[in-house]
Parts: sequence; C-alpha cells; structure tokens
Amino acid sequence: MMINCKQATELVCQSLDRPLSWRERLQLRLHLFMCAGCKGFQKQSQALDRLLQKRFHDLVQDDLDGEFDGMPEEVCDRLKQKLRDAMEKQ
Amino acid sequence: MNGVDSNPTPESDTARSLDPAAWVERHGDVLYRYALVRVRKPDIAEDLVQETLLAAWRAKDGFAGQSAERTWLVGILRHKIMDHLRSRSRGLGDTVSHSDWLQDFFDERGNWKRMPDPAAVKPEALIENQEFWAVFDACLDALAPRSREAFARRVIEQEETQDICKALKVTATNLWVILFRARTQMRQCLTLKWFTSEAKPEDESRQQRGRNQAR
Repeated sequence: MMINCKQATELVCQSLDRPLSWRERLQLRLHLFMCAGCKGFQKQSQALDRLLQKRFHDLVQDDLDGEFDGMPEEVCDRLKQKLRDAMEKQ
Repeated sequence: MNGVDSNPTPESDTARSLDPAAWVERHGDVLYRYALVRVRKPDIAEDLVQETLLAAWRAKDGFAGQSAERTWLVGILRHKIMDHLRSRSRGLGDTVSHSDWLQDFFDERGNWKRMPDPAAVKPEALIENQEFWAVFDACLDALAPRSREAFARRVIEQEETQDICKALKVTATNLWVILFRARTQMRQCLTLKWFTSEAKPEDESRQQRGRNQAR
C-alpha cells in the first residue's frame, strides 16, 4: 500500500491528466500526508500548469502589452505575396 | 491589399472570407503566435502559417462556415504542427530510457535526491514579472519538441489524452512518460534558473548532464 516518492510524483502528474483509481488516490493521499517534498512537487506541478495556460493565453488570445508584437510586418508581407503567387498558379 | 475591398458586389463578403490575404490580416497574428509558442522558432512558425493558409485556401470548398473561420484555421495549423514534429523525428528527443532519466531525480529506493522546496514556487508573485517569463520561455525551449507539444495540447487546450496519443502516435503509457518528463523538466529548469534557493552548484552539472542526455 505504501508508495515511494518516485511513484508518488508519477501519480501526481497522472492526476492532472486522468482520474486516479480509488486505490491510487488513497496511496497518494497517504504519501502526501507524510512527505513535504512530494506535497511541494504537487503544488509546483499545479502551479506550472496554470503558468503555462496563462503564458499561452497572454500570447495568443489577449491584447498584448507590447512585449511580443505578433507577426512582424515583413513576415506579413511575405506571406501575402506567397499566397498571391500560389493562387495565381492554380 | 485593396483588391478585395474595391469589389463591392454582394458576394464580396463571401469572397473576402475566402481570401487568404485577408486571412493574413485578420488571423495572421494569432496563427503566428500560436505556432511560435508551439515550435519556438520564428522561421518555422512562418512556414507553418503559410502552409496552413495555402491548405485552407485549397480546401476552402470544404469550409461550410459551420465553425468560426479562426477555429477552422487553427485546426489546420494544429495538424501542420504535428506533421512538422513527425517529419523531424531526429529532433523529437526523449531517447533516454525512462528509468535512466529518473535516476537524475530519485535514488535507487525511489526517494528524492533533492527534495522539492514547497515554499519555492509562488506563481501569483511571478506573473507580473517580465524576467520570469523570459526564463519560463527558455525552459519551454529546452523541452524536446514532442514533449512540449504534448504538454501544450494537454494543459492549454485540455485535449483528451487519447486524442493526443492519436495525434502523436504514441501509446497511453508513452504519453504518461512524456508528460511526466515535461512537467518534471520544466519544474527543474525553473528551479535552477529562477528559484535559486533550491539550486546548488553540484546540481547545475547534474542538470546539464540530464539535459544533454535528453537530446
């Protein structure tokens, strides 16, 4: 019933991606109750997922604060030109 | 770029919505950033956006407008990103066996070599810090491309794991390993580069070794 830190971290990661079985949940809860390190790992893993979500949404979905400007002008022009060329060929 | 706008016929709306040049104007930034976050290389992002728009234009008859134009284009871009990752199998990384890889973190009894410090990460204190995001991006860059894509699809888009398995052509077990590595590596990278309280010089070399092995 007891699991080590390696197994506990694997369960922590999997818990973010699939529902754990009742046995796994119990094993993990027991381990985390006693292990500050793995508890820390769990907190950090959850935080990491939130940070990645935020990074992506800031870059792709929200208005930008100038830190990242999206497509550079010359890329935009180049793309349009290539598309026009391709359409003419067809 | 005025060729489209100067055409005032009733069909101009439809024509405009199926004009790739107008797509560049309307969705170019979003598609480009989306690709850049995933592949981390501007020239590749540009190629992928171009391929996406060309493919979309060729398939425009299939676009019946059931979904929003942008959703449709992003869907095509996602396939292009997968094709790109698969075509570069050399760059997919994670060739180290899982048990070898884990040795950097755990001893033979499965205990931490260095305990994570529960107090080390306080995301709410970080999100306003531009320097932190530069480090975060650098850590994302260091992930194997396939790990990054799996991680992004799972976390950002909340895609079901069986769909990611299908797209990446890996088994469920492989995917757990890939995601586990991505998270552990990100955590380790951020810890070393940012949360220096947990980092010690001897860890630096071990982390370096681990990273070299992972390539």
